[in-house]
Amino acid sequence: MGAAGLVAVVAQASDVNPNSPIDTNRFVMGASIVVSDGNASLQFAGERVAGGLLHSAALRAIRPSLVVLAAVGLSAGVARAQSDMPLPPPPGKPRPAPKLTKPPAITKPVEPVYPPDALAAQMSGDVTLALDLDAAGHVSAATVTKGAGHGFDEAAIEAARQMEFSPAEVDDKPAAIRIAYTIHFVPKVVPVSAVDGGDADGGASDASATDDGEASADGGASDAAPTAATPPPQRLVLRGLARERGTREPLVAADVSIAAGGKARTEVVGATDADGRFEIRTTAVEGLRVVVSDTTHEPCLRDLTAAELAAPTPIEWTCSTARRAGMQYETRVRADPSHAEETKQTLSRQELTTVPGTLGDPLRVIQSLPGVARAPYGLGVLIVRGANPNDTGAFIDTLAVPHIYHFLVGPSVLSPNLVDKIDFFPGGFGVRYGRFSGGLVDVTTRTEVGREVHGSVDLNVLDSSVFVEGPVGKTWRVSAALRRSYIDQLLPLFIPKKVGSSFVTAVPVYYDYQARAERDLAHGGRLVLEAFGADDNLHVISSDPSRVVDIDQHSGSHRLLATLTTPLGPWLSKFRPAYGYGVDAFSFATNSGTISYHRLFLREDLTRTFGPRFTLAAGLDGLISYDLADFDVPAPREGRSIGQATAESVVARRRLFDTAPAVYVEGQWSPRADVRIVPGVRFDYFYVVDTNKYDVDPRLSGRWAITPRLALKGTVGIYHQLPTPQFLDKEFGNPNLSLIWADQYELGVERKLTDAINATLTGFFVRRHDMPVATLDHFASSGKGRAYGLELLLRHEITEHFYGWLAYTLSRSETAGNLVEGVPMGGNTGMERNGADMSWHPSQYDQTHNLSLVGSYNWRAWTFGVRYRLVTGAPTTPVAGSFYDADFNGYTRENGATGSARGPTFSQLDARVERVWTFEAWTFGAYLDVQNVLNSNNPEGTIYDYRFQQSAPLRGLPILPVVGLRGRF
Amino acid sequence: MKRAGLLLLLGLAPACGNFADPSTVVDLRVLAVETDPSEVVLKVNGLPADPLNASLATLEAITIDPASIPTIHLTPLVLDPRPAAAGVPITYSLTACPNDPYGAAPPAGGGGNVDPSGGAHTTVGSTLCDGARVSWPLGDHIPADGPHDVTLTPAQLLQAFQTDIYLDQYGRPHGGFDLGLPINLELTITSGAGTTVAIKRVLFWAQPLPGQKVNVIPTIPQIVTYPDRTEDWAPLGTQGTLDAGTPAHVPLGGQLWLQPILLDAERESYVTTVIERDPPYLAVPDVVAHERIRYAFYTTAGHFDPARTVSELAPGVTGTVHLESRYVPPSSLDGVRTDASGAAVADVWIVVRDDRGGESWVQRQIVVDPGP
Repeated sequence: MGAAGLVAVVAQASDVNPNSPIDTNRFVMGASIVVSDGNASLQFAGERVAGGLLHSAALRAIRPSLVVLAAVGLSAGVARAQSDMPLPPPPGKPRPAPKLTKPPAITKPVEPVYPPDALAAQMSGDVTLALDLDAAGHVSAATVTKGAGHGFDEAAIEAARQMEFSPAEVDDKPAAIRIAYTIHFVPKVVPVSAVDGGDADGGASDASATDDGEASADGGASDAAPTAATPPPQRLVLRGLARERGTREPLVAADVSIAAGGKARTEVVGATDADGRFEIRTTAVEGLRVVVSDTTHEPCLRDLTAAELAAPTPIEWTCSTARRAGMQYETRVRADPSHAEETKQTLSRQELTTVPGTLGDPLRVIQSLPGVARAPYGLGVLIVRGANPNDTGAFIDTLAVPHIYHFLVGPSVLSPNLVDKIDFFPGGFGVRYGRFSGGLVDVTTRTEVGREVHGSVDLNVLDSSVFVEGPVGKTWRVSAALRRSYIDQLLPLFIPKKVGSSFVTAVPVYYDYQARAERDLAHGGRLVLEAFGADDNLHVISSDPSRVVDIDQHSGSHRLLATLTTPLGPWLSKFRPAYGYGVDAFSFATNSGTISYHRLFLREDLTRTFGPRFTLAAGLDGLISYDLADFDVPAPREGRSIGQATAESVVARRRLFDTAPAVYVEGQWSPRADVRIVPGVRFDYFYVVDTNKYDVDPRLSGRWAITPRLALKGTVGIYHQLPTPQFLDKEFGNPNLSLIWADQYELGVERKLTDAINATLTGFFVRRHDMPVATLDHFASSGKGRAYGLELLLRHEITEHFYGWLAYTLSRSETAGNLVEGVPMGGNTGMERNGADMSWHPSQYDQTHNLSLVGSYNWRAWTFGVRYRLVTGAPTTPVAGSFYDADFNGYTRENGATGSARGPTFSQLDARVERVWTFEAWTFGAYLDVQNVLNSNNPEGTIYDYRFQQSAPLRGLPILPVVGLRGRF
Repeated sequence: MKRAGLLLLLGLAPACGNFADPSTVVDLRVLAVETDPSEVVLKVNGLPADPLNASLATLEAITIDPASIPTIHLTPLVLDPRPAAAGVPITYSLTACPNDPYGAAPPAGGGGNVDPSGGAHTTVGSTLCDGARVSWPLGDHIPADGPHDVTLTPAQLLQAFQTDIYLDQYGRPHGGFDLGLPINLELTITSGAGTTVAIKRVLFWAQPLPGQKVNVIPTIPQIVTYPDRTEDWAPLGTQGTLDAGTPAHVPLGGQLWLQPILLDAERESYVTTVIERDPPYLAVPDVVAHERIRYAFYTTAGHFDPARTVSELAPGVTGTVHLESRYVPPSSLDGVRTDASGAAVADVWIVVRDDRGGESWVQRQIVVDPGP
């Protein structure tokens, strides 16, 4: 800033309650600072500094070309600013609530030097820093969490490293703390204005008189300068609300300026609060203009009329202003390490809804992350590190759900509006999760939903959805979303009707809903009630109107969930009872089956902090299930028919009462500030199909932040899960099958290459045991699997115009034994059934190379995105020959070595373009999302003639353009 | 359920292949193999009184009455219409081996895609004798144009019984001694233009089941023809019969429906053994209502649609059974065999099976006229 100096410090800390719970042993908090030459101060909890943000007297001392304002986001910004912060606590296992009893205050402000080139170009920029303050208040580390380039970052860091603060106190003891600290570099607006920047406290600066004098000199019709010969000037009170145009989101920490007379001379007199509100008390001067501005929005202007100036009552003003071009990406990448797991990937809402090829569906984005194999036909299954899709769990707010995607290529079952973030664990998840031996996805729904009335409507060719949120009464905040597909109604309009045509296709018919109500309780507690569910049907469309294809596939699941978060003495409790109902049914010709289930979930997660270095989490993860299964399938009885045995209708009726309680305990120990070790153990018990099964899963993870930009991390652990229920059936399966289990090992390194680019390289090794294999007509637990590889994520975090990532996985997944999990049932596979082929061969999910490139660029109101994927073809077992089986009048396939061939390499480019129009109180957007832009063939398999002599590729999805519209208010 | 959805998608996806029609014989094909008898009831002594406690030792002690072993007449239906095969006799070598209960499931056997047990409800393996623990060469260069007699020895059958044993998931022994013993007959067939392999089984019962009758091989007594069908699939136009030595005539671009006549007597009721679905999982006699008779249609010129028909709808499916198939002549007469009069002749075979190993066939001709 050079001669500009630090001009003032303002704590915009009205949202920071020193008594509010702090959920980390290194507190992360925000502050709001305005820097002035030599008069810096920092208030985290004080009332808003009276008077103007920029005193006119001080301003006179500042070089007119420049003002440097430093502001640190407040509570709302805290969550966003937690990037790269070590030692966070695991959400879901909240800790006891240490209290910030004394916030740090800046004792040695240091003014940044405005980069000369940027200043010459009149460029502005915001640099958000994470400052680690030790217990003495020294800045031990300063890292850029959001850079602005052009030399701003370096200038901000250089200044911040020299700053000093008064020690923060937690529970009345000095403690280390991390604060988010944003410095706004803004070329100076104007020199001193001629108006009074006085406030309600009358704390106007000593420059007021002069200012008033100048204002008086400008000549005000009704507001003469305060002289002894003239009456006191008319006082004016203006109460305002600043919101973003279209979204109506509040403008937080925006500058509020006033100008009088000449209008070119303005003075910053305040800032908006967390709700976007502000209040001005000043002298009513003719030609008074009020300006609300920040670095990301167009200025909002109001010229007060003479009548308004003369009005005796306060003026109310709602200011709506548009987001500036190039500022569309507002949400930061939340590399939020608040869970103890070290290898998860966390995606923000922005990334989750604009990735091409996903139709704006958040959960589809996971399929473009390292460790996730490509699913055939774009199906909504997660194949993680070569494991069966059943091995990867899906959770919503830590509650297991049967599936997170609708049928086939349908979207996920949760409205994007309710998704706050998605944690994806390719492996190595902690002990609070269980019953899955592969990866895990946990969707965290938004909290704080419903503080204001908002809504959206999305329309596209596949489905439509609506979302609303808002307050109910003074205590409750509610939100609801509903989506329904109609592709089954639209598609027949485009399929020509032709008798005799054999064209048949299946389309999904689905809906999903979510409803949520929450309220804050005393002592920092919170109660959340949720209901969500999804329903899927498969509809078959034939181009021959006389042809009726009797297929019905139905799946539905519904959940009711309550979450009560409350302190229990030194512990923080999160109590979650839930009820779930689900049904899966199919009908195909004479086959039919229905499985329905009622489930009671009971979770209690307790956390407690023991000093600054250790946190303990423990909990109960209970599950009680009552399953009802009714099958009516034609099946031959086990015998020795020479020919196609006569199938008889086999009616199977099951009523099963199963329980699966689990307990866990996990510690989070930080022997040093840069080291975190998380040991845990989980005990699971299963009573299922009248058998008892149990397991003990020890797990350990750790992280060492070698430097602020370099960290090592690793996990090791045991993971158990039940086999698929059908393999446990007394008649059709084997209830004595063992639990499938895996031992997982991961070691990774994180490197922050630039302020915006991070690289993560993870090596993994997984062994899977006791996997069900096909024996003669039942099953045994003798299958094995293993997977190993490297995962690279090179990620450009969300900046003003761009975000993207490169995900590359080099891996090998192998199995031994004739596994049945995930293997298509029946069919002429030529597979032997002895289960004894224990040689290792590639699993059906092995994809040696898997590359995904994702990029999205924002320009004005346009967003352009592409996604490119290049994936090794899936393993195939070649046909070595065939012979004629006269009894069955068919050919039996002779297989070559299992998995010894590959399908063609998959290469697909997806693109997305979106245009948003912003109106006063709502936005309207139109998008085109095109999958497989180049219409690549991408065979998904091979089909053969009746005797396996001729073959042809089974083509993948062709080009699929989807047009959509959405409005939001 | 998601897997089922995937299967449905794959199953319903439009096929991309342009494959040869299975009803059109263009090269070396085995269309059927008849064994007479198709099943055998042996007289076996020393069978374990308690099958649940059977052991290899007790099974090694069994004996077979040689007089109960019949001679089996084996006749393959083999043809190779390629010019390169003309004038060269088709021969085959024959090998026998026991059933491999661990072998691959037979084509279309085992219950289909939605069988909860994964389509594996059979322990009849569809395997060649190459990998069998024991096999018995039974002859080489056997002419394929006539029956060949096969006689297995008591020692071979005893070895087969001892080989074909498996333990179920509860450790219960099962196999040929309680469920029936399939013996594989493997034919390696050579024409003047190539080689192909086929297998056929003969089922040997260790002892007669109560009320059991040996399978009777199904036949086709008559073939009815008609030129068209109504929308309700009723015959339309003049009906006739297609008899041996009297070819039917079909013009290019025309069609002819062929309907094999099925006599009720062909659909036998029979007794077999199955494993009970509930503990203690005994192999018990079970009466199956009747056979399902299946027809397969073949021709050397043109094709049949459908290529296969069956006498019974799937369980639970209602409607009318249709055994007929439509003969569609080729698009031109190029390459179609001509008889002495110069007429283009399509040879036609209809094979009938009873799902118990019984199969036979009839051969007819259709003259394809140049056109109206």
